[in-house]
Parts: sequence; C-alpha cells; structure tokens
Amino acid sequence: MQDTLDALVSGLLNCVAAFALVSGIFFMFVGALGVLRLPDFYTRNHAASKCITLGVSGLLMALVLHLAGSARLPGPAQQRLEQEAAVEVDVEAPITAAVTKALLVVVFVFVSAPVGSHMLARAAHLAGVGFWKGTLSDELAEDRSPDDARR
Amino acid sequence: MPPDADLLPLLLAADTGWALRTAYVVQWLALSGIVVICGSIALCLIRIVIGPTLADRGAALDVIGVQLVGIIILLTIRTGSFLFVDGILIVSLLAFAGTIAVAQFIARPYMRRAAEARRAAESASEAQSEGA
Repeated sequence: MQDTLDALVSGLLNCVAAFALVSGIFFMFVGALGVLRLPDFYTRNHAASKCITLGVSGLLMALVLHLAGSARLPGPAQQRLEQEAAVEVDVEAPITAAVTKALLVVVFVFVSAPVGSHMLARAAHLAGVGFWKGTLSDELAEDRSPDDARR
Repeated sequence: MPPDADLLPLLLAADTGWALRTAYVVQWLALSGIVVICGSIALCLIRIVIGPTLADRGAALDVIGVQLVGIIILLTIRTGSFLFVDGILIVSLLAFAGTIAVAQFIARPYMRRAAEARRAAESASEAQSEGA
C-alpha cells in the first residue's frame, strides 16, 4: 500500500518534471534561434534575456522535481533505475540543500539577467548601434538633451 | 473484505512500473535536451561570427554561458548527483560578470568623452563669469 502510494507520488513528480524539462529546452532553443534570426541588436537582446530566465528556471524546476521523484521510488524500482539507466539515486542526500541551492540560482538568474541585458542594451545605444527600419520610437534618445547628448 | 483495501492499487495500475517508466522518460528527455542545447550553442556561435557589432557578440556570449548552465543541469538529472549544483551557481555567476564586463568595455570611451565635455563646459562657464 505504502509502496503504491510512493510510486504514485514519484510518477506524478516525474510527469511534472518532464513538462518543465520540455518547456525549459524549448525556451533555450527558441532564444538561440531569436539571437540568430532577429533583425537588429535590441530585438536579439530581448530574445536572449527571455531565453535565459525562462529556460534556466524550467530546467532547474525539472531537476528538483526529478531528484525528489526518484528518491520516492520504492526500493526495487530504485535499484532497477540505478542499474539500467546508470543513475545514482541518493535517498540519504539532503534534498533540502539541493532545493535551496536551486532556488538560489533561480532568484539570482531572475535578478541578474535583466540587469545584464539592460546594461548591454544601454551601452549599445550609447555606442550608436543602429535600429531596425521598422522601429517606431527611441525614447532614450528623446530623453537626452542636446547639451549632454552623450551622458 | 473492505472494498477500499484493494481498489486503490487497482486504480493505480497496481505496480511500480508506471513510476519507473516516467523516470526513464525524464532521463531520455535530459539526454536529447543536451543535443538540442548543443545545437543552440552552434546557432549562437554563428551569431558571434557574423554579428555586426561588439554588442551582438556580447549578447550571444551571454546566451552561450547560460546554455552551459543548462547542460550542467541536464547532466545533473542524468547522473543523479547533487555535486553539480554548486557548479550551476558558479557558472551562472561568471556569465553575469562577463556580460557586465562586455557592457562596460563598450560604454567606457563614450562615458569618458562625456565627462571631458562636461569638464570643458564647466571651465568655459567659469571663465565667462570671471570675465564678467
């Protein structure tokens, strides 16, 4: 009975992990495609920062859910997983420590990726990197007065 | 026999093979995800080669750093070892520091020129007020 319940919880955790994994890989690939294909630097930078935040958070969520799920597997199934897939299932390891570090990485990436891409875009605007011909407005250039145009 | 004693296992397909199969699916997805992310790194490398400006190359390098983090996460799923989690933190920190360095490298000449122009304008206005 307990084994069946554990197997159910483990299977459900792995299903959610598979969904998060697929979405993370999708965002990683679409971000790289946008970096290659979009028309000017600012749109490419936009694609890059989406790829960074969503891709890494999806993959880390998949990691945490899969580690928790395979630690909940009943004993014989764990041994089969270790033998057939060459995976190390660590029941004794502190899952809370891994979860804390993973959440720390997610928070750090959510803070640092917008800061980094904003700094890069502002430096490019300062250096006069051109816009796509369909760009409608350039509010940063409008905000600069003629006196301190390069501040 | 109480009906709920063996109804639940029947509903849950009664064995642990289902949960094991989902774990296999996640493992297979992680392996194929490594291949997909290697392909996206190749796309970013093309952008680094053809990128018309330095800022384009900086953004593509930032994406490559984050995709290395993604590969480490997928390797952690594949091997099941917690030891890689520290590596994830360090590589993402280094990617952020690299982006900041590239942005500063692009912006610094313009910042210096703006400071010189401001200083020149201030000294000119001082000379004007002394003359008046």
